[in-house]
Amino acid sequence: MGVELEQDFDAFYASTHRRVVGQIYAMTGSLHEAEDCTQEAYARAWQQWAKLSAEYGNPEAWVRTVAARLAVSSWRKAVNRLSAHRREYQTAEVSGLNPDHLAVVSALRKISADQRLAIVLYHYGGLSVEEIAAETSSTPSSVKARLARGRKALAPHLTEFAESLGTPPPRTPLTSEQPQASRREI
Amino acid sequence: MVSKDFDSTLSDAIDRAAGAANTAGATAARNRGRERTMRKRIVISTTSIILVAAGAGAAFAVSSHNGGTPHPTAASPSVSAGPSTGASTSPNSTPTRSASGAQSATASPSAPRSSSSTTSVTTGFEVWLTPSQLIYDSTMKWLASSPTSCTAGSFEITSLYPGGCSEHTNSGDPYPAEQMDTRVFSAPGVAMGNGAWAGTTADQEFYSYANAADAQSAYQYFTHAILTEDSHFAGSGDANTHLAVTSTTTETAQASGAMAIDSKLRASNGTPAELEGNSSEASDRHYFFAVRGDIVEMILVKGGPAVSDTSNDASYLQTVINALN
Repeated sequence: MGVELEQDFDAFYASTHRRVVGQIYAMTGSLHEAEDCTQEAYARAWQQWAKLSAEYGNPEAWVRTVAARLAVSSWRKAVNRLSAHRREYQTAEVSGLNPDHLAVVSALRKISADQRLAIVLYHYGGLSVEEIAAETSSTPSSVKARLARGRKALAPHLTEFAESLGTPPPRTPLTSEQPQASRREI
Repeated sequence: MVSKDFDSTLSDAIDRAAGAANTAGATAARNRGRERTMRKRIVISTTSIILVAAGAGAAFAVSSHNGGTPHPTAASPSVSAGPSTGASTSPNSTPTRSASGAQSATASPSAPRSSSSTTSVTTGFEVWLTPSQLIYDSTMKWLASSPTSCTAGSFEITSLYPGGCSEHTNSGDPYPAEQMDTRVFSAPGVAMGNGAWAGTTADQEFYSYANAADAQSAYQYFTHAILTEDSHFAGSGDANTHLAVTSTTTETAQASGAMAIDSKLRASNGTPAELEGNSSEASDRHYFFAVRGDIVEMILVKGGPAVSDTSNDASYLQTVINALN
């Protein structure tokens, strides 16, 4: 591929990589796994970068979707439960996380993957219900259900966060100019 | 008690993780992408050679190396093969499935099955079971992917590599393998759910070690760890019903250097369980291990209660052993 494409891809990588890793980390609870899934997603993006950058409006969403799917792939954990156990015991691998951080990350691992993805995209990624529906190939009503059930499932594990895990107000979709990492109360 | 803010805590945790992440770099991602493209071409080329070789009735023999490593000694097909894919290249009369059991684009569970699928097939590296040699084939109607190989330290996402690398070769493992060769079988005709949360699958895997002692140690490590894993699930709940989950792991058959193990997760009401917060893509796992020389072989069948029929484990264990002899 041409130099321009490489430069374009490299700039995209540099501006989005850590954000995607963080989001996938929230889904997997393992930084190593998040790094690997994300790197693989970028590798796949590069394989079709000419088309992806030209025709796909939001390559970051594409990479995030691929990485998220990899993270929950059944093949990913195709060998046995031993590896899963080892990862389970490595949730504290990120230095600087306090007990609250670890509690949130740990609680996320206790809910289903689709609920977790919706929660992370909504609460951290700043995506609207409609955007999450588009990114996950589902419907807004399904996303709303996942968010509601996800919060309900999180609540017993995060009693100190009960108030902020309440019912979200109606939201409007973000425009492409708005940062994805916006913070809002729900 | 002051209520803490979920959004800000989650964001802070993610930001810290993102800040601590190792950035392999865009160049590494591009190189990985290029390797992927190249590997696909290699797989396509290799598959076509296997198809032609099988159809030509090439005889394969296996010799021992380094204490038991099987390698083909006479795998010269009488018909040359170009880089092509698909059932149309196979000389076999059953176009939906090759003699090696490799899945084609048109394969289906009800498709006619190869009559020559009663012997193991070499792929240039190891000896592989055919779908008909895999346990439960009469009900599962296995379809096989193309075998793949991973070298030491490999850690790759496998969703685009049917039968790709796994985590057994992670650095830090007590007995890291030098190479892993895998073939994945799927049972697309078996409904998902009821324990087969991600479908019913089987893997045949060969782990190559530096020497026979390491292979023996790894075999002991694998089997012991699986047999003692029930305690790790204490306190687990079912992701769907939130009922308590119990793991029951038992040794079902044993031979010299070989063992069959069955492991099942059940909710307190007796139904197949799916663990919360842990990717238990199957409620039931059925393992067959064998070690010979510097090779450990593992067959792992995953799915619902149907894969926990252990009545033929003793005899099937011999089939697994034979693949190494």
